[in-house]
Amino acid sequence: MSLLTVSGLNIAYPGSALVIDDLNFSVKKGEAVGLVGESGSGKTQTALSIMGLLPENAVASGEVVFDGENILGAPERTLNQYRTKRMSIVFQDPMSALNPYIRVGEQLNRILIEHRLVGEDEVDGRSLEMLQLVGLPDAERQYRSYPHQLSGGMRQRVMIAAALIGRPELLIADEPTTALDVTVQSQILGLLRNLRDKFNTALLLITHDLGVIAGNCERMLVLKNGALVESAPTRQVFTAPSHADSKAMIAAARRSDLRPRPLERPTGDQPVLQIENLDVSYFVPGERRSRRRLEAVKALCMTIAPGETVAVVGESGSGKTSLARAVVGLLPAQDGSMTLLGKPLTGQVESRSNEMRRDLQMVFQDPVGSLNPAMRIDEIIIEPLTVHNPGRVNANQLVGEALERVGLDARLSKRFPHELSGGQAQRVAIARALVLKPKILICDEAVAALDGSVREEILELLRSEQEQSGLSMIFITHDLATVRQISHRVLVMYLGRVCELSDTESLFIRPKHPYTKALLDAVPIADPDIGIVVLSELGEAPSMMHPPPGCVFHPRCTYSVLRCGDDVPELQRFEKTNAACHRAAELDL
Amino acid sequence: MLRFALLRFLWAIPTLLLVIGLAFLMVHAAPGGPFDAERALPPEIEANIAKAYHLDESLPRQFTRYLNGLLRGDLGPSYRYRDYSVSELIGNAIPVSLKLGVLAMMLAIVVGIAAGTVAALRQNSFLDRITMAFAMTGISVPVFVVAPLLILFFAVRSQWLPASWSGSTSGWRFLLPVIALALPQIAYIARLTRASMIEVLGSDFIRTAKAQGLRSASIIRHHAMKPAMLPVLSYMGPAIAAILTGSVVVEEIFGIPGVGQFFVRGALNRDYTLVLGIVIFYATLVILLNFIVDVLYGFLDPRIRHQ
Amino acid sequence: MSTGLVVSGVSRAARRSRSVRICGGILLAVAAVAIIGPFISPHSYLTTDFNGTFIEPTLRNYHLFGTDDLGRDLFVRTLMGGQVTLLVAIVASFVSLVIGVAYGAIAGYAGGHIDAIMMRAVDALYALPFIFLVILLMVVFERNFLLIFVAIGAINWLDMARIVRGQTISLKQREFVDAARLIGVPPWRIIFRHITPNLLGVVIVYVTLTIPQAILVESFLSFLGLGIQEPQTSLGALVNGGVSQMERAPWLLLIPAVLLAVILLCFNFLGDGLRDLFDPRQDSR
Repeated sequence: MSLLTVSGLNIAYPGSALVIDDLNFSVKKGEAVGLVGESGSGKTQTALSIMGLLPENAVASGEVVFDGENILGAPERTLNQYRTKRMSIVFQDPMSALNPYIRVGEQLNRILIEHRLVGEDEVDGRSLEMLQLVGLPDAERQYRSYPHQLSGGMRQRVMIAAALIGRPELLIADEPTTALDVTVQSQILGLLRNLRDKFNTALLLITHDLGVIAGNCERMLVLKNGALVESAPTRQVFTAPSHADSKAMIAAARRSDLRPRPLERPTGDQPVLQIENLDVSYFVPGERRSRRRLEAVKALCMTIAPGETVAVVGESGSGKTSLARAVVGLLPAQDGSMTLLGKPLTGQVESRSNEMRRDLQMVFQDPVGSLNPAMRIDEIIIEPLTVHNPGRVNANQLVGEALERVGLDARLSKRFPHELSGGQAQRVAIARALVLKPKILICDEAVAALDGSVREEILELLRSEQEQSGLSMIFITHDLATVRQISHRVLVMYLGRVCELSDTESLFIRPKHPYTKALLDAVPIADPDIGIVVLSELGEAPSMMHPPPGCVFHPRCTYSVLRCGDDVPELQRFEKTNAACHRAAELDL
Repeated sequence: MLRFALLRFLWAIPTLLLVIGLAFLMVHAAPGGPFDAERALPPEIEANIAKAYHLDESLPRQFTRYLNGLLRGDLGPSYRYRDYSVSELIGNAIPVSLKLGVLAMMLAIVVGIAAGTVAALRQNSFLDRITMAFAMTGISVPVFVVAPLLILFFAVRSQWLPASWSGSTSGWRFLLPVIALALPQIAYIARLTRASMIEVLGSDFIRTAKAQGLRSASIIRHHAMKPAMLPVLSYMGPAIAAILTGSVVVEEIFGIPGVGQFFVRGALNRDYTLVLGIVIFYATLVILLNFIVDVLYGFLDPRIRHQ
Repeated sequence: MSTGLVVSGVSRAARRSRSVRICGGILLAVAAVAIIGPFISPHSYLTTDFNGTFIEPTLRNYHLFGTDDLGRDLFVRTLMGGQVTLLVAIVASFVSLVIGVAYGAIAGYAGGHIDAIMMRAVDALYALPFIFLVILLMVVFERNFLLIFVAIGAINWLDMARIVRGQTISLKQREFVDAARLIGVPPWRIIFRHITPNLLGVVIVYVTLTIPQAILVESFLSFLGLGIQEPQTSLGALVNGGVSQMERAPWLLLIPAVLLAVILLCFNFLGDGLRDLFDPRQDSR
């Protein structure tokens, strides 16, 4: 029995091509359907059209039939009868989706009151109950809190509470976990599964992550440029995709999956970069008066050989970005030492010598944001050269070469950054970084903002550059799949400390630290046959300002013993890896 | 939150002192004394006068003397109106100016917010465009143009309302001056409200509220109003200052014996103590009201409240 | 380099926004007429004619706007007034721009204590009922022409400083500034090549909005009799004169008032149109 049937849906905007082109699909009662596609493929538009939330200038035709009634284009009054009570939606970014000026509890209450779901005196109780149901640790407190006082994961739980409070038959989730850390993601997805079972809610799960689909949806739809290219049971799509585009998508997902990809580890003589006992901390922004420092990195040690790539992995709050900024000199270090090619690195980038600056370059997360909007591409690429070698340089030729090297057409040189796509802008940023021929390149989430295929290309570019010139790289990321493709060794960070340091292979096959294991388990695998590992409730990560005593991971660790709360573990050497865990020797993870 | 308020308050005091100091300096740095306009006096009498008004003392001493007086509420004697002290003169003029200002402010807030909200809700409709056209005109046409025109059309030509202040005692005499004074602020507040409301209505959390099936009226009342009003609240500080400024013109044109009129007279007559006194009065008022606005803002924006 | 950016930015603005085209056009037309007009008309703004006072606007004898209480031709005087008003506005705005941008950029880039102190000073100055101080200044310094410009400029820089500071701070945190530092670009070049050009958009918008403020201040002063002195005149002074003759010769009030209102309206619309275009959000893909 079909709950939702979309037929012949077309959506267009004045002055542009069709955004959704003749879309047909259906969702049965209690079924979980995944909707996947790259950005711009029309996934969100689909969701909005079902809920009746398209902007005023959208021109939509076709039918959206919910339980027998066509609701496309229906008046607000009718739609409001369906919203919350029969269908609801969870959006991607919980911070902007919740009203920052109103307490969490009140926002839930408003829904109850408006729809008269319970009697007046039961409103608070029901909201509180809902908050507990979605797993908020201290529901009473969160009920009274404002959204900015909650973490990302908690806010998304609140969104889910709001969406399910009316016991709808259909829940649409538009990239519900994309903005969250991977461990939090797996918990939220687990929550959704539980609640769905409990209320028998149908789910339309929209995402770009095939692993998420594989683990949560019975059927899936693939969208490309607004058109449906595949619609079949999940297993079938993964094993025998019928359309060329879905084939490519599955292949890419499989490739970047957690499977071995051997990389020869280069033998180096003198390490390019050596870091000893690095401490980085800073004043909490906005709380200068309280004099409290946030310890972002604690006692970190790391070496990098020529031609090697070390990935630094961690979730938000792990300190990986602070590490990058400290190495590069944008953030002062409080203690410890850093040496570049044998020479000591001083704290502030401004006080370093030109040679040092030349040897150490960085590529940032936001491609367009890292380029000066008021400068043309050729000026951007030439600038490092003018700074280091004042005097006439053969500008055109150099720019042309630099652009070619990163796979860009030389004709782009006269453009401005905002005229480029994300991928193109990142290539320019890389070209700029490489024009000085640095010895080591720091990539801070350099591909996080890019789509699947573009991401691949950029990684490939970096890999080949490394092979050609023996460039070393520090690759900061939260995405384990990327790590696998590009790094020789991996450093796992949690709350400013190193948990594990090993070569890539060993980390994925035999992790020695419980946190690494949790991370690996949390990543959704793009294979419907591999079961989902249910993480025993990890709970929320502690705030960086109040790190737990002893081993910083111990409150969330399944294997912790008494000692873990008292002594800080040292990084111990094992055969293939180094792990900072008291029980690493005895545990078999 | 308390710390926030306290800090703001503490900053207000040196600000006020700075203002008084600056005004004092400027007044005394002016060439020409208060008595120049009159016939030239024999030197001994000049010296006596100088002594009586303490003008022979050094500047810092005069300043300290003045501050002491301030603390006791004494703003010194008026140089011009010899029989009165500045405090008396200002004191008599305050009630009228206050009434004028408060009425204008209230009118501006009520009409401005209402017009702006309606315009935002009916964005791009005829009503919206007309309202914004009026608002634009209100901002662009200066008070000293509007006021005479109002008099011309409503008082002189059509004899509806009293044109001259002293000629009538009815409450209606307030109507034209208040409107003239409020008009630019109505315009500004309307534009501000509209822009702010449109921005809020376009934000993600309003989309969520719609997705939750709330009615429009409900969304506006419970979700949109508060954040939309914040920029308007911020504007209250400058708005007050603008009304003070405008009141000078309005009082002049309509002949209202308020503080503004005294200020202009005092400036033209070189009545320094009077001028100084009025400047300080206004500055204190502005600082105090800005402080209140700041605290209110901090109270309403939860992100500031829970720092 | 920067001029090129400004020119391209302005022409892009003109192409994209109707209000920019219309208002820009009107203003240029007004300015042109104001400059050329007095040369065409046979009358001068000075000559009085006691036989021809209070003539209504007529084509006879080229008294297009009529004459005033002293028999002076209003057409020429209005255009003169327009010249003076526009001149004062532009010069005063320029003064406040230079002060405001310098102050704001330094405070924003320096950050820390310097920034805090500088901004506190701005807060303090904001509290001053500046218009009153200006009036005081006018009285005190005997209505010096030059001083008017300076005084008006001295009022308006506060807003510009605040805006520029805010913009500088947010620019400072952008990644391209980090990238420049990493490359080793010296601080002076960062300020001039990286930060300032990205301030231009905001600055241009606010200049078009401060010009009306400057005009209002000057008109206000003239209205009180403290601004421009006879026989020169500005639109504000003309309005002042017109008020006293309101019942007998309303055109003396209405014509300069309308011209003043049109100029102010155009600048406001222009600023609005530019602001819509230069909004940083619209430049992201």
